[in-house]
Amino acid sequence: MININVLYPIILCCCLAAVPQVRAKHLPEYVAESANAIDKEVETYNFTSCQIYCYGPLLHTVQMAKLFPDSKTFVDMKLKASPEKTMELFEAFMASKNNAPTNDEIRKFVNDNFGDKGTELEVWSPTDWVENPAFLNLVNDPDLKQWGMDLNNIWKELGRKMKDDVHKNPEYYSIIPVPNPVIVPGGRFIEFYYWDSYWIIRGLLYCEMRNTARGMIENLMSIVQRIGFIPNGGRVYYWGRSQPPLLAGMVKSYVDFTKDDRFAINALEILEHEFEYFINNHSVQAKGHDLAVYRDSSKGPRPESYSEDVETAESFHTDEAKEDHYSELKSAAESGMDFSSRWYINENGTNIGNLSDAKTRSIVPVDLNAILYWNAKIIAEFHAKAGNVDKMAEYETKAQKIKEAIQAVLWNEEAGCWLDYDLINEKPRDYFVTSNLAPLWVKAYNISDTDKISASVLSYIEKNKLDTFPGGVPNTLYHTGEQWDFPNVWAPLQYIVIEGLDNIGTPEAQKLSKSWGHRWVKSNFAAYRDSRAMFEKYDAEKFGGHGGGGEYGVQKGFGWTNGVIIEWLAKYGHEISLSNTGAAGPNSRFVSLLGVTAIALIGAFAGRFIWRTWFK
Amino acid sequence: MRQKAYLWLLNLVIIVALSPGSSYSANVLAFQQSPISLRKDVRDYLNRISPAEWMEFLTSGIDSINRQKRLEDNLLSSDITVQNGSLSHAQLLDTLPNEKSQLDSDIALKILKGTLFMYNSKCLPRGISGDECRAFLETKPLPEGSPLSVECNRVLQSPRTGHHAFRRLLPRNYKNGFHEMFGEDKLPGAWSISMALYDQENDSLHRTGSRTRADTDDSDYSNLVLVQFSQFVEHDMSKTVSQSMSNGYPIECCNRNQNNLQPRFHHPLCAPILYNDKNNWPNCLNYVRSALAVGERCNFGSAEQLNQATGNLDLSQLYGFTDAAERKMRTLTNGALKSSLHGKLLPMTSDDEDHRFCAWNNSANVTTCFIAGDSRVNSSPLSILVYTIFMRNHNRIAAELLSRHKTWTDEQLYQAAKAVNIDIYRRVIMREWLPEVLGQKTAADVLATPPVAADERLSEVSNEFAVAAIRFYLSMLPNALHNLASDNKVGSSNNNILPLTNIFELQNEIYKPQLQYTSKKLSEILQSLLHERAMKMDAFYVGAIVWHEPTKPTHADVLAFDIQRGRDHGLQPYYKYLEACGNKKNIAGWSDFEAVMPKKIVDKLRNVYQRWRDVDLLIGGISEQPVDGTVGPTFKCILAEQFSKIHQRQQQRQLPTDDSLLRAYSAINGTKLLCLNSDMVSVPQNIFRLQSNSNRLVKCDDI
Repeated sequence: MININVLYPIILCCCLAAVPQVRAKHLPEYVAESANAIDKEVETYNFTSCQIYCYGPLLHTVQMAKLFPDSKTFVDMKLKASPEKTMELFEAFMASKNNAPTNDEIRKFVNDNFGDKGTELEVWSPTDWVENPAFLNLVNDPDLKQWGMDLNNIWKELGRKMKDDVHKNPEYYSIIPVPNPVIVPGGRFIEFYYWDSYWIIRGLLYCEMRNTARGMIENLMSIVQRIGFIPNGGRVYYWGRSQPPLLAGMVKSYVDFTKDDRFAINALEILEHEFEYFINNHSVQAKGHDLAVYRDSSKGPRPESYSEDVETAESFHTDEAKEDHYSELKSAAESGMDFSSRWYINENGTNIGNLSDAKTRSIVPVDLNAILYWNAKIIAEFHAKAGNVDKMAEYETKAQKIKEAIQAVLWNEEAGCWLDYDLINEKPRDYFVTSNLAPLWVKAYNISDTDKISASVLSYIEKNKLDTFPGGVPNTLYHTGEQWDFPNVWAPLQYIVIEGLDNIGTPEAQKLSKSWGHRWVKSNFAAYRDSRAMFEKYDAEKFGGHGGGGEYGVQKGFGWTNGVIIEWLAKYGHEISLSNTGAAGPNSRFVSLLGVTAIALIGAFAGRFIWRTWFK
Repeated sequence: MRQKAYLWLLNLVIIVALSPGSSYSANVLAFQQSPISLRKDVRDYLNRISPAEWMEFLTSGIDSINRQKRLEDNLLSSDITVQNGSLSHAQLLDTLPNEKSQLDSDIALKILKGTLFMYNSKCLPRGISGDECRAFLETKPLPEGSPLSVECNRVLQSPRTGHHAFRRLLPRNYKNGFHEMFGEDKLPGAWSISMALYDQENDSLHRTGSRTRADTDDSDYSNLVLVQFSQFVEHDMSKTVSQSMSNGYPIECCNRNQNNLQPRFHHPLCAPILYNDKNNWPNCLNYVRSALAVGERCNFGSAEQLNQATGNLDLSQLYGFTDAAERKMRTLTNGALKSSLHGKLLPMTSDDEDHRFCAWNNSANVTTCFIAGDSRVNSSPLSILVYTIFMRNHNRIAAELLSRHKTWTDEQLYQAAKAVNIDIYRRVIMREWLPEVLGQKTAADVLATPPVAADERLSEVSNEFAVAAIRFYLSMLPNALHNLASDNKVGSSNNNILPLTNIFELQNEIYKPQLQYTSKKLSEILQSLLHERAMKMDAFYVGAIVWHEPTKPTHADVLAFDIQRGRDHGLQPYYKYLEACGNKKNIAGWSDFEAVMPKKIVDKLRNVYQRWRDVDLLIGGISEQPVDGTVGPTFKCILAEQFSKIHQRQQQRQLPTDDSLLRAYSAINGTKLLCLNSDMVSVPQNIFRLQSNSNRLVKCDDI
């Protein structure tokens, strides 16, 4: 396999260089149907607006003034003048205030020079939206069916299109211009996110919105062409980190749905590029095997959570230590699990601690390596479609090597499961995290071991009492206050766990998978019925309760949650009934489709059900 | 009706007729608590839950609490706990748990958590409502022999003074039927209600240092002694305390800047009081969910809020709620209580106890911080005064007894003096204070409550009394106490506008005693309390105790706190009590409130609350027009119900003291109590009203 040493990307380093910056190259022609001719040489793509939004004195001054309850607000605001001009104005402003402006003065500067956040995007109703996607026919229960219709409607609320001005004057914005409209997660996440898009795209495909799905995939591919990798989300300030690399999975989902092999073959070069790029920049060696870790390549605190990071860095005393700390935090952000005790290694080598113990770069994650294995498998599969036998073999070999490394380093016989690996203490991390089961999802294990693995994993689940939680499998069992820890439950990881148990195929695992899948659907429905909202995260201890913790309040929307539910309504809809319980009497479920539609017509939530009285 | 109700003594309540102005005839009615009937299929389904599953729910609940310890460690390592000298510190002293309450609450919380696991696993997914589920759970004993059952039974069987669960007049009112508060998705925020009710004009009127004296017939007006004795009664009968971290540290829900904490630092027991400033930053006041008690039985689903105080008029706020606390208050010689300044003042705290009694920060050079049986003693100079009077009274009686009974031991002297002191206090409260608060008629009805059978289980203090009705006095507190000491002449009644100085500004003194306390200073305060008119009992609280600006608060907002606490305790909305207390049934809209409150106030409430059904009990209660006594009909009903219970208790549980001893002191009334325990020259006949032609001053020398 490729490289053991860390290859920090050169491409974006110039982003760090002081002004004056070279004006960004014009956007390359957007890839449409065909995605040929990707330049293997890493292109230098320089976001001019980075001097405002990614680092530098202006960002520091404004973010440390804590003008807004959510730090992300400022970095999503539009510039009124060019970045260079704004920096000049800022320098003059600072000089006029003896470099010590008050918060009110800073607020005025921001108001004078920045427009409202998110104005670069407009709500976009997907043009390929259909009212009654066929998956609804698979859902028997009338309330669940109506819910499925509601979820299909929500796509229209989550659709976003960039205004023309973004393409003309990208340097006035922090948004990364992309050619096609997108579906965003929702809430404070008003731009596309990388791994979120996987579940969103699958949901769109179930809702028969193939153009929208393909457009989103092409957006991501255009970004790979421009900057070599896919950043965490569609903002320049995410420039040093990616997210779990699921682009190949998205293309595969699209191709599985559409049977459009042409699309798969055309995507190959970009997929290979992203894969190699990811491996190059994330590999480590553990026990003599090449594996990948999450790793960020930028400097400074996370721009969107700037003051928060500066504050946690206060416990470090040198600039170097602070910078290392920022790197650990941003690497955790790259994992998608920001933040979690999963990334803590304290001086005793355990996961007890807080954010200052984050050692993300020294932990070999099960899920990332399983996903990279899957990438190689998908690329091999697409090469097979194209008849590229050599290439197919090459990627099969790569996949094989990753699988061997996973088996050798991450599988833990004693625990009976895969475990993250601690590179500092050279030992497995025997802490439950949902991602420990990720190899089941992508079948990153020897198929001949199926029965043994199934039995081991089921006893691992039993041992950790994972079946005792009414609101889903918690992401970890450690209640730290971080949002990727207990008691929070996240749809994508619920999906990975439940689909993984289904994939392994043994009757016991499939039985548990189905029971958890049904529970998840019902619990999400209960939350929706009570609050008419889909949440970013849920609470393992509550049936129908949403999650909390972390650095911002719980968000509603919500892209990946909706995607998972839509897929599982299609999967389980024929067998789940909300009313068919021993307890519910004839009058306990009395919301008929007709009756409720009448309420909905006069209700404030046109097109949605009101379930207030359900269950009463 | 009466006959029937006596069989239901636990639900006994004195009810008053509703329409204002009419005289109240006492009827005995029960607060209707219609039992929830379980559907048969539900009962059968729940009965099928196996013993192993019941154990698992409890285990899961305990695991959940244990997991929380890790969060608590993180909070403490980030220094997120109540800091000495902070706003939250003063608030904590109002609700400070002792160790025993913490232990009780820990057990109750584990039971609650186990209960919630059952509810979320079995009831919710089956569409069984919280109320129905709870009805089943309340009858379900904890698994016999489980560690939690053992712990719980140990608590129930241990001799307990205080530490009982509050009683409810109406069923609990929670989002999920168990403990989840209704939030701002349904109700207006507690702080925004407080802000909306604040009256700038009214407040500045009272801030100015001039005051018209004796302009009308002062006999109609309550003085501040009434207000202060009301608080003293509250301290005696009820103390809700906040929950703590499992290692005993207090929980803090706001950051140092009085803003909302990041969600990662949010303790699950937090329910902070929030109000956005002009830049949409949420300003924050601490609110931690109240401690729980295990209830009457060790069953699932019976946890209720804990009352750390003894539900009885027994001066436990002075003597201490526990034996250990009581020993600390005694000199252990000659039956005396500890004191300072030659017996004139309450004892001072020792260094290690400062922060359990006063909200000084660590660097403050504390010279004054008093100690008593209750952390609330230092809540204001007014409360310090009343505690001091009863401390002096005890020591005065003990000294008299010693002079007559030279052979008595310290214990004999102490117990006798305490019994006499309590007897005097009860008489003042039941015979003098109660008629002022409830009106003569209702007070007489309360005192006519027949005794209960000797073996009848005594009922506890009602939640509604503790966190709503008895809190009425806060509406009557002024911003400052004017110095009226120079005006102490018998029969003085000039109509001059007096230039006044203030003895203190209330907001500076809350849990931070800054005055130079001397015997003379206390006399000044008492003098001024007797002659200062109390503020009207209405929906307006003065600026010293509420925070009415969308800016960073520098003191607490007691009204917002009380609203939040009512919701924490799952009280029903106001209209339910209005209905339950009165003949007027089926309230159908805002206009029905106009029967008991001024239209102007109803209009104000309409602006604050979207729905009349949402009006909080406390807010409805303070908005009512007082009738006869000090409070409106709904609070009167809740207070009367409680005091009739108290009266029954007193009749049933006489102190083991020689009656002749008590008789010897039976002539001491409020006037004498104040005269004998202060340097006052004269005191009005009725100590709870301003002096007037019908309430003449009595010279202390004449006693």
